[in-house]
Amino acid sequence: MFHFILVVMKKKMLGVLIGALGLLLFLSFNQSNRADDVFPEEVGAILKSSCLGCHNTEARSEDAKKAVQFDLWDDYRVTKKIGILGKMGEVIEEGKMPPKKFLEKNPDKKLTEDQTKLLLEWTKTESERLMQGN
Amino acid sequence: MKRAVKWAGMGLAAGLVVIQFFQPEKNMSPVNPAEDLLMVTSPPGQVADLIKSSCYDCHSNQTVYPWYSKVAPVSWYLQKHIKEGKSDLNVSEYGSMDKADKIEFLVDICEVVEAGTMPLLSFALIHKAARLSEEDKEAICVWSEEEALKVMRE
Repeated sequence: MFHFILVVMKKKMLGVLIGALGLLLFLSFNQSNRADDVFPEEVGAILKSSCLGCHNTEARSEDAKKAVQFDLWDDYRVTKKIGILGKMGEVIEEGKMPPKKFLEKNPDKKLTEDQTKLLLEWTKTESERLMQGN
Repeated sequence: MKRAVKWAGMGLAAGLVVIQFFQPEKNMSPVNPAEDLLMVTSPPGQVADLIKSSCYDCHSNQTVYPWYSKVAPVSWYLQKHIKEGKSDLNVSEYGSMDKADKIEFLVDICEVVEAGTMPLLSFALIHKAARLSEEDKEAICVWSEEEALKVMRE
């Protein structure tokens, strides 16, 4: 009898575990997909490959998180978005982001000239669009 | 030994006197009403007072110098901070910022006071009026967000 109960409990626990894993998987997919809908396709692709790695809710660097978490973009209030866009324009223009140390290990994440141009253009137009209340 | 200490002390005193002749230029320009943050935005009195006492000494063209700040090497240390502070942000030039920069600044001012990164601890330790309570921070943030939205709609 006791053995039977144990087996049932184990089965239940396994079920719970699988459920939890499924939920986690779903959440993580949900998160990485969010960046896609929020930004224009090309912009989203650049952000995802060169920025989101550090600037996301799960990231380790507190500084990076404090600056911006791109997976939360949709939740930011409009003034905050405009503020971040201004800073993005600055750090991209000055070549401060992605950081040199990071690029030493991940040289492929360096923004190409075209990517830089595209992001800069977007930060400007998006900021103007937000200010006009569209 | 005693003599050595005496000479060292005298040397130090003489040095302190000599460096007083090398004073940095004072950061005290007249207020330009068309540019100055508080003049342009006219926040509620309480918020204006807070910003004046917590930010203006290093982030404007109008530093209020207590007597000890005029004594070298303190005056040098101060000048370095003022230079850095103004290069980051100068509220005496707020009027000529573009709309996006104004909004960015208004979002920032709330974030740095809320996070406690500003005013600098060293400054807040000496300036009692610059220490912001939670209510003070809240008041600054409420005003700055309102102002940012106002700028946005201009």
